[in-house]
Amino acid sequence: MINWPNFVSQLFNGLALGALLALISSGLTIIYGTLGVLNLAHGAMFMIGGYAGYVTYSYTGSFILAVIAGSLFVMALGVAMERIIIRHFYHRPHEDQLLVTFGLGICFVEIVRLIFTSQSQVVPPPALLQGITSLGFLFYPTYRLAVVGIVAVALGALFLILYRTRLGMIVRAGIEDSVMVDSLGINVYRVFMIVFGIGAMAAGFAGIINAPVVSLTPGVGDDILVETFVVVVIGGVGSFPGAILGGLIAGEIISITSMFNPGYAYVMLFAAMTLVLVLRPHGLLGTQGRE
Amino acid sequence: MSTRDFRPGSAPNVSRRTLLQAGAGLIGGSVLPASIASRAFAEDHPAIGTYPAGTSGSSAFIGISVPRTGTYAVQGEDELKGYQLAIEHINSGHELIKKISPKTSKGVLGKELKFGVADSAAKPNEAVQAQQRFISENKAVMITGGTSSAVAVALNKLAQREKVIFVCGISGSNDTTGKDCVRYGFRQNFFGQTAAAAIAPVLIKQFGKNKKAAYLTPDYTYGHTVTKSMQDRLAEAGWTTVTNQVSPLGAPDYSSYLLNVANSGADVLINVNWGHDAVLSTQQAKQFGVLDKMKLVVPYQVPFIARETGGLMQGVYAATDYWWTIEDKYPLAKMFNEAFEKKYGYKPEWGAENAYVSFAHWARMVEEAGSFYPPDVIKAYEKGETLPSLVGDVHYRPEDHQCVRPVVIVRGKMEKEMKNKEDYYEVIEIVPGDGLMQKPDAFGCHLGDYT
Amino acid sequence: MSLLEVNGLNSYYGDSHILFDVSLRVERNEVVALLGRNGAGKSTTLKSLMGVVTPRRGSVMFDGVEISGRKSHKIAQAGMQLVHEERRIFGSLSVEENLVIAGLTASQRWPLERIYEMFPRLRERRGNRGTDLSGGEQQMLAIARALVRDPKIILLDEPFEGLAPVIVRDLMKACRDLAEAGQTIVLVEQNLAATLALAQRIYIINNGHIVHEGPAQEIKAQPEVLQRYLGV
Repeated sequence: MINWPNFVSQLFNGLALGALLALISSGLTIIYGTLGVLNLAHGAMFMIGGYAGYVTYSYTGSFILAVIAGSLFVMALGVAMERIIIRHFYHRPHEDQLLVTFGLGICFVEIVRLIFTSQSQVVPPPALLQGITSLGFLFYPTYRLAVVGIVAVALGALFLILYRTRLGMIVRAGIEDSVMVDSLGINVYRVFMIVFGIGAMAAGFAGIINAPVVSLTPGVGDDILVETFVVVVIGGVGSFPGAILGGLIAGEIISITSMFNPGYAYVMLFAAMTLVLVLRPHGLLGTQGRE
Repeated sequence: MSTRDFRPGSAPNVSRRTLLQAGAGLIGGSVLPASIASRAFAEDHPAIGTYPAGTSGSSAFIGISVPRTGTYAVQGEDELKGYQLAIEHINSGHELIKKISPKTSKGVLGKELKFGVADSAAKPNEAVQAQQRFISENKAVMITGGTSSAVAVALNKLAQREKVIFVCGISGSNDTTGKDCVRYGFRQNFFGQTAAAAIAPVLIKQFGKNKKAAYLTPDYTYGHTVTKSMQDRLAEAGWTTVTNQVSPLGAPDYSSYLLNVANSGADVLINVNWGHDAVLSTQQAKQFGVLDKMKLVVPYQVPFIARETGGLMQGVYAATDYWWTIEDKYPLAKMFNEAFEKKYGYKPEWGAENAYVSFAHWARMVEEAGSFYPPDVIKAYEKGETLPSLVGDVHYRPEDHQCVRPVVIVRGKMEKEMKNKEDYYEVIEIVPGDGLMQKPDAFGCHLGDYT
Repeated sequence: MSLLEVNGLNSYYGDSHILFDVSLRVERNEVVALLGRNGAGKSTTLKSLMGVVTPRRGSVMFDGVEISGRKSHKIAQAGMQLVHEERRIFGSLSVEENLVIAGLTASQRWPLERIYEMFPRLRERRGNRGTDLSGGEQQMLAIARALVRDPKIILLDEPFEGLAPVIVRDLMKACRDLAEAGQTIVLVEQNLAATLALAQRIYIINNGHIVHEGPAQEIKAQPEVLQRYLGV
């Protein structure tokens, strides 16, 4: 299927895939950068966002309400998770942090499975965005086009928070050196809580936005987590611009490779990650870690 | 001891240990008369696998591994319900079991069946680990599992190594009773070759000759062999493959594959994906307008796909092991549907049917062998005698341990044609199994040793 | 009452015991220096005061309040600032952002204008990212960042280390100006001449124990003490 229209189509599809990955990854990367905790429950946050949105949608029939409720619910869940569990692990070894977040992720997935079973649930896109749009060079689902725009807006909002607000300044400083932030009289633990909430919300928001694209199952976050992790490694751990760049690169690699040989899409993704790790151990836009 | 009458005169072999175990069994619930329980000990066989340790008590253990998480979780749960119903029926001597296994009274050779369930997540290593545990710790006399041919093939090997009979769960790969077949493994359900042989003529009749087909294929033994069988059979009518999109199990998104399909100019989309992968890829095919451009075919039917895709299976042809509406033609199917629906509240899908029938067949073989001694049970299967099933008479081939059974061709009903909410398919044809089978050695089957 | 009174302070890194019953006091408007060989426990003492390292035993009374065991941000809010040996500038933030972030929670703060008067170089580079600064500029920024909070006490950990003499001279002058303006300072420095020029009182720490205390003038007259503990 190697021909010009297909190439352009795949290039565009890579952008759409990459935008979503960028949004989820940005949440993971700012949490890791600031707290030093790799949140392996991030995929579960993505999944729960979808289900929270699904429940809201079932009761209200409003997609917009579903997006708002899904995001807020996951943010609250993130904050609760940080307050109740994660904060006890800041001074524990990384292995413990990985285990506790991994375990939480499993619990979340199984709780959702208990409530909703493994059968997939469908959240239809808003009526306005149903159907297919012709872009001239390809026909693309209208809703997926909208997702690109929605995600771009969300990333823009995250950018403004990070680079144009005091909170963002503190978070950026905290990503570099949270101990120093604390020494400057800023309660860094409260910042951690907020960052965890925002990071989780990014995943939850992506989860509900993505729900009409994938039909929800409790396992929907599992594979995303792996891809997200690759994105963060490629882009540079703790780097917001890195997450965006990494997301777009990953999306394009998956899409373009699929054009030649779909079986190799993931092989190429991991090969790219390995290459980046060899050439730039801190990722494309990452800097030397603070530890 | 207990209040139960052990009738010592008719149970000469009951040891003190057996009595204690039987007593312990009483606490747990129902137990069978020790007079029957003792029968298996009368045989004079060398120890092999878990024999005789697995049947030294009043019960016999079955190790079940089904996917309860991951992309095949929905199908695994249905399969598990079929197993549980079969075990319940065997232990209670249910009428339906007696129709399939006439010698069954209660339990198997008087042993109450107990079982353990493990989540395989459709991953071979997890299934093998769980079954290894069931074999060494619980002395399982039979193991089952599937809903992924990768798992089935791995358990085939485990069964042959451990000399414990493996009654295969859902597995569509030609390899399961082909190049990866084993003496200790048996498969009841239909598979790539028979699915293709049954559905290809229907497709050719429906869509014509010399059509262009696009395939969506999951990247493991099931996907590759089913796609190959379909390609081979359709090529006979001049069909060509314009693209074959191979994707990993549990792919989170099918957009890039579907763009390739959309740009391929195919007339027919043959979706070999299974479980949630099939649901997701079909839904996304709709989103990308692919289903408006080409006809969808599902050669290896996915339980619950019609329900989960909400109308996308309407008019779609599929080959399957079983569809509940054949009960009009097969009384045993009617009995099964009623018993299943009464217990679980919905119509059984073919995962449950395969689970139930394969256990019933196994129970029959053990009864006929008169012993749990695995080589005797295997030889009972290998007699190849005609057996009842939910889709009429079937038999197992001694050469590859594949059950020769019909394939049911269905077509998704339009919403207005549906008589009730579970009336998703119209049965187009029930194709007899004999004409669908490959030659026994065509897929490279070499069964291993008995001992 | 002294501004800072430390009694019987014990700190550890993991299982290794670094500080043994360290006691010292600092009066208001005083410049006190802590001398000692590499690894004697000078930086650990400062970090323990700031709460970056949590001491296991002992008391730290700061302006009449017990602060030992508190989190750094609480100690900072009580009016203490530590300028780390490694400076720990936020490299991705601009010079001005580094200064603004420091002042966010301060009860009273130096206006940026006053900072820039003291360090004109920082005014020139206010828009530059921390990573773009030279070593000397980074040190200025680190000190300035502490001063923004108008701390009651400022702890300086080797502020002159590794800098060109001309920069050291500028920084020395800044410190002297601060001292003359009444800023309380605790100084850890290898540069003995600079230390003795700035400090009024000296503590010598050796292997985690305070082994000597006295006015700076007195130490100059005791070369055998300097020889024994500092090797000079």
